[in-house]
Amino acid sequence: MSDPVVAARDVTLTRGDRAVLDGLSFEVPADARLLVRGESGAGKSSLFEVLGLLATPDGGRVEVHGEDAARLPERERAALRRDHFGFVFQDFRLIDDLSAYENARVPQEHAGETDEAWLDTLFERLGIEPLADRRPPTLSGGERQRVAIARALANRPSVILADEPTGQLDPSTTDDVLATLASVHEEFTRALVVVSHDPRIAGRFDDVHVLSDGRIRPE
Amino acid sequence: MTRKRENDNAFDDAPIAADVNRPNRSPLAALRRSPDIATALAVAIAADAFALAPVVRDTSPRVVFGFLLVLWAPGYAVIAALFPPAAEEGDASLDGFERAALSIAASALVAGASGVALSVLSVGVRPAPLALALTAVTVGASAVALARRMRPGTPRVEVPTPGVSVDDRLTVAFVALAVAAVAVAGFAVASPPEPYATLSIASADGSALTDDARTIAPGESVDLAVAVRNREREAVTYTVVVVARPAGAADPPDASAGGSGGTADPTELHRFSRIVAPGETWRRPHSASPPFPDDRTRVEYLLYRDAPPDAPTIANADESVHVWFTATDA
Repeated sequence: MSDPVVAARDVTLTRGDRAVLDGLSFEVPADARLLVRGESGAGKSSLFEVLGLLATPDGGRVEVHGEDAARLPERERAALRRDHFGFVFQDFRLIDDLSAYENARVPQEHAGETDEAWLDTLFERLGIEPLADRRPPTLSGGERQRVAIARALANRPSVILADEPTGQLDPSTTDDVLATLASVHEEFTRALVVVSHDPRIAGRFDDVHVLSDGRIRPE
Repeated sequence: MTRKRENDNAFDDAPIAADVNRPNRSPLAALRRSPDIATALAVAIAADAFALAPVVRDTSPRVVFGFLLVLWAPGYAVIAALFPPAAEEGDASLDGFERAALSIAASALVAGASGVALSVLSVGVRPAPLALALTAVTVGASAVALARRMRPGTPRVEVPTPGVSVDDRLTVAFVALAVAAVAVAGFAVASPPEPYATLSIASADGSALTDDARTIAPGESVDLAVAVRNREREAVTYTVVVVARPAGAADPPDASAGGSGGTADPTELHRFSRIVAPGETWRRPHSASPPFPDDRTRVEYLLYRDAPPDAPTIANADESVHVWFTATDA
């Protein structure tokens, strides 16, 4: 197993009076392709946010390539998110007013480096080249999620974090999107972490972890 | 259908009746003797001017001429081309009422068809292209009408329907046009109005933020991008005002009466303005550094079509989105 690109060490996070993450430790190796399962309310989204530096834990460390990033200033965390993480959300979070291509280009623009050849490659490999000029409202759920995956890969991240990426998709499209994520993992060798409550997708992952009572354990 | 009598209706073809049997090869002379066609052309040209000319396009005559262009001019020209005035006494022709009714119905049809064509051609159903399209139809049909008046022997549009009178055919045509016009109008009314602009913000990773929350330390800044899409049919100057509104402060006195619904003591962080062309999206990256007199601050993005008011709020903004920021220890 390779060195972890992201690791949570003894992380605690409280929401209200409830300890959502309670001394959780978890590593994401560079070649990981893993699923984190859990019931609704188990804290999957909180784990997603903590690992992705979107939320600050109350205690513990969140390491990115070995460096604790949990309490870095927001600007530095944002830079780490931009450069090392690709996010895929259940609700896609695409900007309706931008074309598919423009949506995928936003992270590059924030990074100040536009690499259209890479975006072209992504659109071609993800099978969304013909959709480049279309706006999200004109796309199906599966097409939107593939655009979101292209956006997640725009800055060549170390790890892709996907929070319920199939939550709004029908079974057929779910299979397509999971196959897309798997091919992205294999072709571009990015660590892939999918957080989901959907038991149907567990069979697609060799490495499955279960989040329960604020802690995580291998299934 | 009335039998045409010479000079029986000033609205109809009376102006040319006296000369209708006299061939004339000059289009200008024919136009001079056809004030009805000249009026239709003048209306179309005036409507174009009020749709396009910068100085006058926002004035009230635009509405009047636009109305006449959509509901009268092209249809009148088309009907004039299809049913020229009676060339000889005793010929069948339209009376004033029939011509007016058919003109309105035909205009509505032409306008609907033009709108569909502009939409299909991806030009967009905007005032200027629609006015130009309707003017093109008006000019073309007027040219045909004038040509037919210059050659009074040219047969009218005739549909070979043995046993059916001209009156019956015109009645059927009128009913068909009226039904089509009502259908077009109904479609226009039933279609949901397109919002005039949309506003969105995205984080540095490109994901759109919708009622999202971020945790930052006081004094820090966050890189965001605001996007404004112009859905109007003309270039518009938009202003985005970015306001930080701390939570926990007292509500403004008028909050319950349509105030911002937020809290008091807002701080304006940024103000961006730009002219955005129709259908274009304006993107503006920036850094937001919200003040934290309290633990939470709501950063509001307020979009205005015109000049923002003295106190920009969600209530008086044309569009708005916001992001919550929660303070943590640095």
